[in-house]
Amino acid sequence: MGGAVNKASILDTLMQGTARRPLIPEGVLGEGIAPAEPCTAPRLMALAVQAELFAMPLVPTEFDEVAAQDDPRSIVPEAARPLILRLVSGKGNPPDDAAALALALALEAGGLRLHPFDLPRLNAFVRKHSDVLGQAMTGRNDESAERVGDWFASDALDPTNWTLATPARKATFIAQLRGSDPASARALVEAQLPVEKADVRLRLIDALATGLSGDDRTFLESLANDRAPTVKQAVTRLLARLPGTGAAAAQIEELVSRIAAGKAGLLRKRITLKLQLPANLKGPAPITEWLAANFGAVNSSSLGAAFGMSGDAMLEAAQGDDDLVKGIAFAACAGREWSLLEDIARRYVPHIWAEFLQPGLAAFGVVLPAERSQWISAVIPGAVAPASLNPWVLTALHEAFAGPLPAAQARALFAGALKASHPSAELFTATAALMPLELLSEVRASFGRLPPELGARANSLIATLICLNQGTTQP
Amino acid sequence: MSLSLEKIERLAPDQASLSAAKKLLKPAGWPTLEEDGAGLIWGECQGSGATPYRIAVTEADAGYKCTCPSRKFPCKHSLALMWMRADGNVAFNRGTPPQWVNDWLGRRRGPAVGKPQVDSAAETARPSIAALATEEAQEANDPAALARAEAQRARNREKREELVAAGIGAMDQWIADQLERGLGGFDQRAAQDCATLAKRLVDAKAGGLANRIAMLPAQLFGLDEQHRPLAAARALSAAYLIGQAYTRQDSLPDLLRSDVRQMMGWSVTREALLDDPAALKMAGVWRVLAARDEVQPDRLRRIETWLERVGDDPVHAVLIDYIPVGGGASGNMYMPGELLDAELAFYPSPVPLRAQIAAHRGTRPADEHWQCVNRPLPSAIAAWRRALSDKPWLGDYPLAASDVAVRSAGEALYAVSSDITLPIAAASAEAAWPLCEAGELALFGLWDGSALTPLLAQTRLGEWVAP
Repeated sequence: MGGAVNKASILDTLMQGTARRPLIPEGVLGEGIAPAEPCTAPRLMALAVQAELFAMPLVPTEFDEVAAQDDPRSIVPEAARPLILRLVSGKGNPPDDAAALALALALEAGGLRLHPFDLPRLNAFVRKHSDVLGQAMTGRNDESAERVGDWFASDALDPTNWTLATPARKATFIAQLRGSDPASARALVEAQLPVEKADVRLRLIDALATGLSGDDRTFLESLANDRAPTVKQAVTRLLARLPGTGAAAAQIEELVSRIAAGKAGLLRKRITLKLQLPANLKGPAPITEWLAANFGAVNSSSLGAAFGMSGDAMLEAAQGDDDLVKGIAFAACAGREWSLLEDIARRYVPHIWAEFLQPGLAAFGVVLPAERSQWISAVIPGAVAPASLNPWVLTALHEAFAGPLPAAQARALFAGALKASHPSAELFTATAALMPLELLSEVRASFGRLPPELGARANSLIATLICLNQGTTQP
Repeated sequence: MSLSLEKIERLAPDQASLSAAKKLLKPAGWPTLEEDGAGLIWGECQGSGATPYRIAVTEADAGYKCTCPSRKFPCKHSLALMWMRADGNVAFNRGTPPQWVNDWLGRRRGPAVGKPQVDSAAETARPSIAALATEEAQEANDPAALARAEAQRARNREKREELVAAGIGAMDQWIADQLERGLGGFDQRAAQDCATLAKRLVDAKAGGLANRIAMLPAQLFGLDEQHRPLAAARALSAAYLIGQAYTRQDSLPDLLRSDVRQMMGWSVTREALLDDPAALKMAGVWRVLAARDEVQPDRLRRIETWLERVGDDPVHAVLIDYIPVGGGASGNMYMPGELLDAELAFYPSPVPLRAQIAAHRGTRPADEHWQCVNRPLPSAIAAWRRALSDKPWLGDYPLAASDVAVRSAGEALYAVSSDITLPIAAASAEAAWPLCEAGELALFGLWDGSALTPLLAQTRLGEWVAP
């Protein structure tokens, strides 16, 4: 059946309907078929369709050019692909829990990217963690996918390309630059801020906490009317902490006016401090928010000085007022007084680490990984009470810490989770997500003994993390 | 805690399950029987489906999983595996749990806590292994009853032939009516009109044709509007050809006649196929290339497992299982990348593709990825054309080709070789898009004459498997 057959005209007639345009058998396909019989049209259709099948469909002669993939990251090891798919795709494998976050952070830390063949199945996971994984992975239908070069290793960022990095890396870059050249970092932020979304603006402002000085005042004051309330709060917090300006003194004065000093004790009088919270604060969440906003804007030594006390003495005097102790902890963190913070965790509020999770570490200017390590070492100096552990708080800790914990703190959490009075799959998964590489084998040995309904997802995560660490396939 | 016969009796949902399980105790029906040495056993049992059922049991808590569609829990296969273990008469090979066992272990919820105690009345009616011996003694062959049943079957066949002929007549008339109205707007009336005809064909005992017609609206709506009229013409043409071939089946060659009867809905049982001396049988190691499933309008899930015989002259085969949508089976009994050492018996057809496992010697994961060397796309298309000549209602045909590139033109994808370009099915485009950056690759997929559905690709970036 070649080009001489009249299949096109037959099919054209059939599309319009034989009632409108009668079908006359003719040509090669019409041979032997009587006209105007009930079977005429079906028979001609069958022949024309068969001829059409052999002719092959029409196809374009020119195709799109494939854009070269400009991603310096290595693809995950082949062996890790099924593990990743099982962890964060398909029914019962959420793309947004602690395990998924741990996977995203591990990929970022290892400079790895997902296999391109798996992206369609991992779409939900990639979109959820695009700030860590990079927009380039979010697929061809994402509007932001045009920004193909949006992932760089930390050491590859410089003032010419930092704006293309993920929000977390941008903030880290600015915080690091603030350590060596605060003015340049401020200038970069100043230029970039107008084009960023509120969440990124907030991260960049928080990053300015490193190396904060009076030179930043003009710039910060220019941001005081930012349209996002979260950004405005961050700016106010930084302005209040500006050394050598009246703002810090005013903030301390405001707090002092709310702290009543008194005396207690029968034989030996000791000074007591009592915090009077604003009357409109109802419930723990608004109180924590207020404490973080006000105490996070001062440092504890300045606050103690206002009462003629050292930080330790102020703590002693605040004993019995949990809100004030919490406030002093926030001030200690803002002032990087890690030993005082450790003292609070050891002697007064063992679970103080959980109190930092609502405002987030960035609210205290803790952005750099080294500072996060100092913070966690201070707030978890020893054992962790099993009762203070639950999946939500561990997940929040994971988000705040943005990676696995140092071994000592991870071990403390791990031991606490094993003794939890209400063990759950979510608790063990969140615990596993916080474990550093060196502890994974040990944790796996322990979690491997858990019943599947409790340990399956945690073990699946651990297997994936171990596999990711064992090497990469192709660049 | 190990398995015991008493425990199996307690687990069995009823006496019939125990009775059925006992018939499966022959090790010959179990190509795979393995254990990990730590209380986990698993096996494969050839049931009535095309692919063997896979069963895993944890001895400690008598947890079980079987891929069969039975609504009884545990099913006869799980009970039989436990029974063989409890008996201790059958050797279980030591091995590492395969992927499907690990998948189940990862998903399982563990034993139920606070399971209600069986009351005393139920206890007295408990299934019993001892009672099976009595049942077997009562079973006796009744030649007269067998003859009556055979005569009844012959009458049923005759009656069904009459019904099918009437159904074909109704379908031909329906097709002629549709062509009179024109296929340009067929998609708009397809849902209602096809449902009406499908019901008529079900009444006419032409289940195969009924399914084709019932699935047509969904197939059309999966296509761009501009492609629907031609797709409708193809589907109606295939149905018409099957109907015409069926009415003239006595003049057809044996293989084509057998094929068209299957298309109409006459089933060939597994036993009949294996007993048929004329059936094509092929032994070898078969690689699982793809597993895919779809829900049919008759509420059955159709699971296709596409195989390729390993060797210099690759042959393709497909195992097809049907399980109820609401059944407990997990489906996907075989996974791409597994090797199946088996003899396959092909259903009679001029283009033999559908097969049953006649003899099963075990399954193992492949050491290497699928290779497809020196099989150019034009040769594959030439083979398809020959198959289409032999069987005009061919449908999906397996296509394996090397040196293919996937290219895009707008939103559409194409499999491109030096001489031939095939459109890739729109439904597969999203998943297949990453293949565009993979360069030259080896591709396996299903070609229906208008679009290729890619299922497996071997590329420089690794293996791609359709989701």
